[in-house]
Amino acid sequence: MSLTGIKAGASPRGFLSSPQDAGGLRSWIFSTDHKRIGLLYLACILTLFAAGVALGLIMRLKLITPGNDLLAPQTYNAVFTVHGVIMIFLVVIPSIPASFGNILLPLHIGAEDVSFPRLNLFSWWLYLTGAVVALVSIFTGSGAPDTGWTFYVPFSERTTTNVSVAVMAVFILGFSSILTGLNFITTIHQLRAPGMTWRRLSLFVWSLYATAWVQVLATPILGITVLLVFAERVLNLGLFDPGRGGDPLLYQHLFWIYSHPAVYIMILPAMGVISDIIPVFARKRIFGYNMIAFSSLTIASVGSLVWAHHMFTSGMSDLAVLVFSFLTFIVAVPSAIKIFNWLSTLYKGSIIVEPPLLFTLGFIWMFSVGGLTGLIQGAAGADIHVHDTYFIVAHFHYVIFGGTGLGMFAAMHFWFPKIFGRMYNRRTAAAAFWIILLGMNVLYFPMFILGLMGMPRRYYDYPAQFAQGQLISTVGSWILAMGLALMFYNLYAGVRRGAAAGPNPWGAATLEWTLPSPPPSGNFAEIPEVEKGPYDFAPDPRHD
Amino acid sequence: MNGQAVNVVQSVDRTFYFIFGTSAVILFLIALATIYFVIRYNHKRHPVPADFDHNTLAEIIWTAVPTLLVLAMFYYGWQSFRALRGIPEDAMEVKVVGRMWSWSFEYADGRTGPILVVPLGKPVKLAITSKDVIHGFYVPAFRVKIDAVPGMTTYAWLQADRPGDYEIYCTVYCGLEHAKMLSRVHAVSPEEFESWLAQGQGRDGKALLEKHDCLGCHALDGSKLVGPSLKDLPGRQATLVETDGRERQVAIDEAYLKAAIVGDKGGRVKGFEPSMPSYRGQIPPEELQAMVDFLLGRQPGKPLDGAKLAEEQGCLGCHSTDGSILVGPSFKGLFGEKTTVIDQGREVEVLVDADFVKEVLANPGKRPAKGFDPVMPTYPDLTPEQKEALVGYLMSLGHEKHSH
Repeated sequence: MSLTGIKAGASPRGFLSSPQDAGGLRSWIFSTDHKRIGLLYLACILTLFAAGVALGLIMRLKLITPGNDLLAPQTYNAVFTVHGVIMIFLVVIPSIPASFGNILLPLHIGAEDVSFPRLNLFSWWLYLTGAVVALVSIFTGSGAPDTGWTFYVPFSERTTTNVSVAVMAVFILGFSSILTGLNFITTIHQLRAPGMTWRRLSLFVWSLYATAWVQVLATPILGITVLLVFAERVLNLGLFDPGRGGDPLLYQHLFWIYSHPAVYIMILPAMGVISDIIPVFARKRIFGYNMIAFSSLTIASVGSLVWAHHMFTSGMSDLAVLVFSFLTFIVAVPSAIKIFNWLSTLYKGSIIVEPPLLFTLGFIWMFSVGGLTGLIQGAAGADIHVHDTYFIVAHFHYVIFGGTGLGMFAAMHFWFPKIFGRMYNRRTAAAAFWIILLGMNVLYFPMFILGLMGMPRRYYDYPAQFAQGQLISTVGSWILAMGLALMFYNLYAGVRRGAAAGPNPWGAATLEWTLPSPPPSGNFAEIPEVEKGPYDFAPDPRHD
Repeated sequence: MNGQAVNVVQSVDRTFYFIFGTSAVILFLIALATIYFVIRYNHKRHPVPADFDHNTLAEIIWTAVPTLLVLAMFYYGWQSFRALRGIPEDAMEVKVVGRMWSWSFEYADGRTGPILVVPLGKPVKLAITSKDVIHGFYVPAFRVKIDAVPGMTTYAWLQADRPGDYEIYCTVYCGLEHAKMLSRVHAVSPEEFESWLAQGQGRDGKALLEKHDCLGCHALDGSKLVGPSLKDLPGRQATLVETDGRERQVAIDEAYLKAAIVGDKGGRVKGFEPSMPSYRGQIPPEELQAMVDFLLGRQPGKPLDGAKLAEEQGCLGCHSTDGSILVGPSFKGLFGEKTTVIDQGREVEVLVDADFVKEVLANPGKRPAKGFDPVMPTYPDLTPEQKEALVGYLMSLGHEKHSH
């Protein structure tokens, strides 16, 4: 496809440059351009990610030796709560869909923007409001919330810390997520360019589509649930109080009916990114396109039926344990299929190892560890032993940080030249990747062993037999922090002084690469006619 | 990490090893495949990519094989879960109560204690509940874990086949001292268990002093051995010499004796060498209590021991006895003094007397202490005798003019 999209006289900085009469901050925070909104999300998400990482490092430092009193118990309890709330609700759930989804979805389907650009801007404002309210809950009232990000009753009703404000932040953030999902669904249905059939959608768009349905259908339940906690605290209704006919387990069901599907909100978009990156660097069409697209939808739907596997020790009925254990194993199969498809795409390709592919391989390794250890938790009897221990902490950090996190970093390195029109230092990026991978494993792998030894989670102190694993884990946190610092410095340097990247440095075949880098404000000068699929590569342009 | 040889543990571990082994092989193959492909099909070695994007047979195989594998994992997982849940008919029942932030165990004869003593070779059924928020009862050595939920009783069971002590943890986050909500399973021979049970609440403090080799250095008849005599301790004072040579007088009370036994009394007793080893972590709390009770001339079994009760009921999780501020006001010097409470939104001074203590036990939210969060739970199960005993205990910790 030729570069038909270049507007005559368009600025070389594309959407990044503002018209002369309307520059500055206002041209960003009131922009309805999906690319600017996506970058606003990205800036917020990365800032809050840095805050979450800092809290994680403080926790690891406190746990370096038993009896360490760097943090008082109440402070530690607040720190792990705030770390969880920030990372889950403000970083990981919006991560890829809100940032790269916003920037790329209209480009991938050949559209000018999303269906409802102003609603899209409103979603970002809701996100910002939620983030501010969450920060208010930390620094005001009678202390930062100390409930864990799960807000389990009855503790969350009894604690005198600022839980009421924190759950309102979650409520507001939920609406941001719902509206983004709604916008994406309508966009994908309505705004595909001529010739952009459903089977020519990139797998990234398919994953956003599956994710958006989960966002729209599951998030309202979270909204209701946190409102109930708020009502309990303010009005003392007794909804979850067994002494007054309530039931604390009801809360757990409601919470996980959202929060388990939320795991798929977190991981599916990363899988979409991986599915789009591998073919580019293997220079080969994706293997099993239909199966990957279909498995995203399967994971999204079956994944909505497995919530109570978080509750095998809660005291719910044995029959419920049987059913939810079974469904949990069923949902493991489509994830396995995706991994086999990715491997088959690499098989007999013509592979160039660039930073986006490195982060993608890291995703496959780390996600495999996370997914396979999840099987131990799906098995009812084995889960009883590891539930609520460090084993779980290790498992979800492998899935969420090793999976979604590395998937997001892969997306950053893949689309960076498109968004900023410049290239980062690729050798430094590769070095940062290996340091991050090493750090993650030194940080989180010992937690599997600690969990099997019986170390419970959310402990501000621990008996001496866990000291060795805790020490190694803390050392890992330093390695990881160095890798992250190097990666972000390298990307920042790339934004400032990177060499011009050109419209298509990777030789990719999706529509955004037909535009100049950065893309102009209105995207395509005229809506393109699509005549081929997202992975039909031109004869090797890399050697030109 | 395997403390036990009972079938349940083996069943759980078999599930674990089956899944772990299978997963390790799969992970190895995935990692190997990615690395091999990246090297073997590098664009320098393999400049022209193959052109295929599906293979029906391969796709059927890699859907079917994982499906069968996960169904096998499900089956094993379910079998071991049933083993954990299948409580034997002849099990001895022990009631387990979790509260912020301690456990208490109650036996059929009403005896309670802060650790779970079990006889070897006999299944023990645990009927678990909570007084306040949700806790998690977890004994890693037995692979047992179940939540303690207020207003609900959950069940678990375990059978110890080897003598020893096995940690109990709380696994559901329950507030400030969640990390310190620890206890242990103490597995003893059936004979030992029977005699322990037969002793009832009161323990033979003198026998325990012998058991822990105290009497080699401390005489009970007033004579001076390596250490001071333990005769007629109640009401006496000891003269301590601190490391810098300063001397101070301290009352010989429960706190002092407990500190002395764990090597924490802050100096040596004048006239003696500081040669006593610390018994920290070596004496179970109820044995320590029994020894202290004996030394202070308290008759086991007769009047209720308020100190012990305060520990069992979890009071000491929030109220210190040494003046330090935890979640609630310290008991030290509290009784007999005026304190400020919030009565219907106004600050009021009240005298901490027997009536006020009983009011707080019955209805802690009515007039909470100023400066503290109103988080104290009610204690509706306390008998009048128990309340009197707690009042007596607070009195003993109270301001000097009211004590003794």
